Amino acid sequence: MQLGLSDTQQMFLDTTTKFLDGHSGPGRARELMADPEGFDRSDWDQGGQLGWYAMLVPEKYGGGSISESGLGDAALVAEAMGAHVHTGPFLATNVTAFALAEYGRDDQKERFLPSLAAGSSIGTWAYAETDSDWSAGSVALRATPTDVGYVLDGTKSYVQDAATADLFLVTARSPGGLVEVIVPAGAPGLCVQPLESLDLARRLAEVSFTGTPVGRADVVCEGADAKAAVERQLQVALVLQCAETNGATGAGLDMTVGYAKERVAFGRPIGSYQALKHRLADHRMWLEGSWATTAYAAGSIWDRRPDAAAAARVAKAHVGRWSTHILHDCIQIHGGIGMTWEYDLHLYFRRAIANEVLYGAPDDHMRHLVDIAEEAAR
Amino acid sequence: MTSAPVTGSPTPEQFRAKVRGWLRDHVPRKTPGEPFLQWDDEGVARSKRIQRTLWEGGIAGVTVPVDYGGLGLGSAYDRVFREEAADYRMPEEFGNAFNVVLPTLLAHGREDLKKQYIPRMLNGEHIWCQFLSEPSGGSDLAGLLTRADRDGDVWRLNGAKIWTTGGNYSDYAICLARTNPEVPKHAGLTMFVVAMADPGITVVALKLTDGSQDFCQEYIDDVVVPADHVIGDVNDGWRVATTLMMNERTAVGRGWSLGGSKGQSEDRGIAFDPALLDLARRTERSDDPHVRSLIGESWVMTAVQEQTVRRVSEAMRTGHLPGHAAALLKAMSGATGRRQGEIGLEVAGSRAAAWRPGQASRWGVGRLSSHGIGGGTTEMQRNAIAERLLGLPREPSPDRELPFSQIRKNTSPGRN
Repeated sequence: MQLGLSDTQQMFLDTTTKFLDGHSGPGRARELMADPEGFDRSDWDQGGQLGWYAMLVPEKYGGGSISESGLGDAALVAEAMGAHVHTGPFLATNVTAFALAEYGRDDQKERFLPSLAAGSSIGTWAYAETDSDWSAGSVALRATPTDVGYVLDGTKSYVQDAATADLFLVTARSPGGLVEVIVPAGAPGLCVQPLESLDLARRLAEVSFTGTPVGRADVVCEGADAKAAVERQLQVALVLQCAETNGATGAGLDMTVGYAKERVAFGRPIGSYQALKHRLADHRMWLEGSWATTAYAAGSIWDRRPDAAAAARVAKAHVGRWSTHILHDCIQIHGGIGMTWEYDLHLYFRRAIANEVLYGAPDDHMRHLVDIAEEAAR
Repeated sequence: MTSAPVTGSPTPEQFRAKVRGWLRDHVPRKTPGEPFLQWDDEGVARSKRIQRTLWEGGIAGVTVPVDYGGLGLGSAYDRVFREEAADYRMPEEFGNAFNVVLPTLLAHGREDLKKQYIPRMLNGEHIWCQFLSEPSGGSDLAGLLTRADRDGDVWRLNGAKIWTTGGNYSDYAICLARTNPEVPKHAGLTMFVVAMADPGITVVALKLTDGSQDFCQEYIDDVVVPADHVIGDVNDGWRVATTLMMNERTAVGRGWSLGGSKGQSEDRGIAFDPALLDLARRTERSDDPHVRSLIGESWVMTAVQEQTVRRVSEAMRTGHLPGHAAALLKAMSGATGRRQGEIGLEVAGSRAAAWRPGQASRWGVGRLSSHGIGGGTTEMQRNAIAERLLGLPREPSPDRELPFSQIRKNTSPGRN
């Protein structure tokens, strides 16, 4: 929850929330679990009209946002989506568009950005590998240089909405260091293998590349540029992920506080017992911290402040750890109903659990802070 | 507590120039590492001198009405003062007087009391403390036992108070006492102005687990208070106490310091305290992934807490969050303080248990005093968050309806 929104931002958030109230939410997420694509194309297209995929893209390429901070605005949407366990490639498309907007060549921006910003094409970032810690150093997928570009060999995992993506932003390792390339869906040797996902409202897949050719025209960045780009993409992904987690956590906590006021045991509302209310108070407190640190990171990253890398890790370490803690206890406080399939709380919990470990677990990010401090002292 | 601007009052920029010049020429600057409060002869004398200087320069009591010796200016001028004063040594031992007592007096005090006491806070003469908590109970403030009995033209007070900051250096106390035990507890309390010089008051400094001595306990034996030294009405003291606590929370949210501090609202970026990493290097454990993760965790807590303080303070200022939201900050500092203590202990290992004489980093002490009790227990903050922010119902209890004399209480307020 961001404070101090301008009137335009508040209007944008209200419109977004109203749309999601009407089209999304746990009930809709349950319906879409059986859908082959896992999200509603017509909702996706309407999101494009609301500007959901344009916020990290310059106006010149069909983008634009309602405030100076495109990332802050995108985080508003991500949080609202988390509160509705919304489905679809919002984060994936925005991060792909962001990477092209910041690191792509002009001709690439012209080719890809207008359709990504409008939502008429879907992008996703193929970054992590099965057991990687989500650091740039753990990227192993091979990019072998050829006369005309590269050939990719290897497997990416946890790729969001890979089955519906029109283009993949692939991070690979060449003899010269990291390289980021664009691979269109259906490219030779590209194979999407859907995974079973803990978050039932999110589609994740393994994507393998076998001798997949990439022409020079589709190389986004290489070497030091690619390293910087990967770091920035990760920062943006972390902020959007944290905002989404905060939305899910806030919704789960609201449900639980409401339940604790209504549910009676031993002659009084269970929320009157200090044994429960103190836990709920702690949850409210940690959630306030989550809102604070996510908003801080969004500002720091968008403005490219010196502490941007640290701010992203601080946010993820805090949000990742406390959100699952909070939602776990929300289920506990509900008692029997909390452990049923039909009760919606586990949908939020599933998203928070998956988000805790995707894009790096809190522990990884805590240790990375020490790396950052040591690097700064060098 | 605002009053109409004085005719011919300065513009904020004129006021800024005046404050800047006077502070530069008459007030010492902060020195790095100096304690925020210095409750000893030297510290108190210096603060009284500084407050006197602010008074003489015509920059004391910025928002206090002119009738009571203040400048009668709006809050914008107060912000100007705090910005300009950020680098100077402020008389922080007057914190209770200005942050808590003065606004409470303004809200509930009779005209003669305000005229008698407020100017003498502003001119540096009187330091005030709060007589609220008692040895018989601190969280359950309305259950206090100190009683005030009417005796002709005066009240006679008997009982004990505790956790007063600076009690041994204060000139006056704002004191909550029971004037009617035959009604429910909140309805029989009255707020008094008590002179610390009264021979019936005995002040004892309290020593805490870590050896520090900032708090006092007072024994109140037949202390005489004039009948007109009541703030608000007799038996209406709980309302006054509620205002007082609200003033305290507001001040905490705004920043307790009388001068404000630069960077309090300004964003200095995330900084890492190197102490833990240095310690890990000395113990040759800085490559241990577990230790690295503990250090990172400590930094995450510090950063998130600072970010939350900024966010919540700002939200309280703009009205997005109520004053009770200050409980979020107190509770968080209690929770993270304990975890910081654990991490310090774990990284330090044996070094936390014993060290060479004179060594500065006493890691075990951090664990020892990492409770969240001072200023109100974490449990009370949790009640405030749960009941005031989340709207959860109170625990049912008999003490709100039954006459105070009929409810169970800790009977011994006395010497221990």
